[in-house]
Amino acid sequence: MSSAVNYEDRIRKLLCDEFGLEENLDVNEKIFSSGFLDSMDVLTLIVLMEKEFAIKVPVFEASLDMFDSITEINKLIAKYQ
Amino acid sequence: MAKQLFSPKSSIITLFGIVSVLLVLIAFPIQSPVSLKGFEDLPSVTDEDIQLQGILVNDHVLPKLLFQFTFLGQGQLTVGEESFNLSNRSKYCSTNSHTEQINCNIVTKIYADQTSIELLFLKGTKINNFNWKVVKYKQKTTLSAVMSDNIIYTSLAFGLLFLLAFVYFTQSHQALQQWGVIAITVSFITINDAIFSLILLIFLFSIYRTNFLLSQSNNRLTKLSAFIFISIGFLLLFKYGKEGIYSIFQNPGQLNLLMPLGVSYFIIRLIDTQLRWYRGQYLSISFREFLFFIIFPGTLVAGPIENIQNFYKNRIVTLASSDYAYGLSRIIIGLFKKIVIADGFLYKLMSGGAFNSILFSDGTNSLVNSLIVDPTGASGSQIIIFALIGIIFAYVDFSSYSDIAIGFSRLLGYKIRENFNFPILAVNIREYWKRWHMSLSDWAFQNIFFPLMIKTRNSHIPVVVTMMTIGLWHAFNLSWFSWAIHHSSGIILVSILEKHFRVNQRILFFLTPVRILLTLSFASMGFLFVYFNDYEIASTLYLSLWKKILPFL
Repeated sequence: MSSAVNYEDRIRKLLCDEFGLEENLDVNEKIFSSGFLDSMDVLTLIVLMEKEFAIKVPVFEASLDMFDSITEINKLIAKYQ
Repeated sequence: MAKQLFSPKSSIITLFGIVSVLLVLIAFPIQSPVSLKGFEDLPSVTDEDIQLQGILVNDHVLPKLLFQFTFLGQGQLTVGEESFNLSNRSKYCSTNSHTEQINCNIVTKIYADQTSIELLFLKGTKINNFNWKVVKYKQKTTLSAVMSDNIIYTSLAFGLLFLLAFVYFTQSHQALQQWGVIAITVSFITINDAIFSLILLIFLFSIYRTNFLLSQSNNRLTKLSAFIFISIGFLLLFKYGKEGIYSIFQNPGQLNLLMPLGVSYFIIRLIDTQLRWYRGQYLSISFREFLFFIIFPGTLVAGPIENIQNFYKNRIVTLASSDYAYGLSRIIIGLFKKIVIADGFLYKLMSGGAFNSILFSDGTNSLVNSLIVDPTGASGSQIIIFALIGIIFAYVDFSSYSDIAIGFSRLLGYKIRENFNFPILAVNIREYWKRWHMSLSDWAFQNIFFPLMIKTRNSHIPVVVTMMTIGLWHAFNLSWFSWAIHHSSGIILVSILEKHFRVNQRILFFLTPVRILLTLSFASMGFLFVYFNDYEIASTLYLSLWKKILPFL
């Protein structure tokens, strides 16, 4: 299982570079529901993750919750990689 | 930021879909629920006194009609018991100084299902034009009938008290409690319409079974047949359920939420649950829990739209006195908003009565009637004041239903999400949609906007489709289509502006009152399409307001 692979630091770095989030962002910090990012930013984030980790996010299976924290994104990458 | 890989193919398909919807709407307009017979062969010149009898039939609605006459001479129109004098001395008429033609506009409300209309013209009258239209109508619902019938009203009140007592005494037996509440709710629907109730239960049971098939099977044929089965079920429900559904479900904010998706609220909950199953979530639920969630009496009539996950997560196992205090106070707040503020003040301000003589009165004695009679002649301030009062009315009225639903649900032991977060204080139209009817906009974001954004790799097209779905969910007609175009244009414009112009936060802060007013005005312009069922009046007022704002148009 690829879930053993931990991409948390890479995800954090991408979030910092692209959206200017704090460098010490906690892995469980909610990035959308707490208002750090706007829901419109999710597309940029998806494209970024797909490119960086060579994944494909399926149309009906994804939801905003799956991108809401570094932990969630990490799970998502593990699931679709 | 140019990392967004725009997908032209799916975007073009989506746009093609939107255009097709527009063409269908133009080609197959929905039949008016009101018909008038008897005035087909009105003579152009009367050789003797003539008296024509007509009959107006309406299908489960309370319509407001406009009769327009242009003629030389004298006559009288009688609608039911009410008579209107058609002459140059009548307050409904004006005389053209060049042609001396008399022009009469009569706005009247109809309450009966069948109304006799009598038209009388004196000898020698030259009739140039006779025209009538349905300006607006309200659906008749069981609840509106309940409110006007003391016996049903009392028995409903007793029924609700019984329900609350039952829930209180069965708190420690969840299964018994849920079956009991299901039984009470189904009995209420059955008393209203037994066959509809039966079809509904069979339909819900089939959905429950087919969904397990859907989520567990990898066979394409099984999935396809399950989908076809569900679609046929939906169609049957709509087709048969038309009357029963009209009469059960309420119409908050008078947004005509009933057409044609009468069962709109629980269909929305069903789709959300189905998509969760499709994603493999919440599969272990029993039929009892599923049925209880779908027909939960607290939110059955007018939302808010809770999802199955939060619904069960926020269940209160043991009701405390603070829950009763909260529930009751929300119900009282809701009733106050509905009865005193919405119906007692704002509605009267819009539709006539004493307040209007302070505002704009021109013999038609109400602001809305003066807009109906002469939409092209209405001033910008008249239109925008009407629209602003209208949208505040819709907000207070609709949110009062949510208050009552949230309060009542709390008494039944469920914490239901909020539906409104002061949308009238939003600083832009995007924020407005995060505050208005939040349970529906969140649903639409999750189930329409989000998948489509992933598919099209574009964030503007999904906005149009999402607003279009929300609009056409209310009623499949041109008015809601235009409403959707209006709102989605606003949201897209705000997104583009925010992306390309970074304005100083302090300046934005000082501009807050202006931004709130602009946002509310923009939202209220869309309300014009919602309020008037007559598209011509709505679009004339809408376009004339834009022309006044931007004179170069």
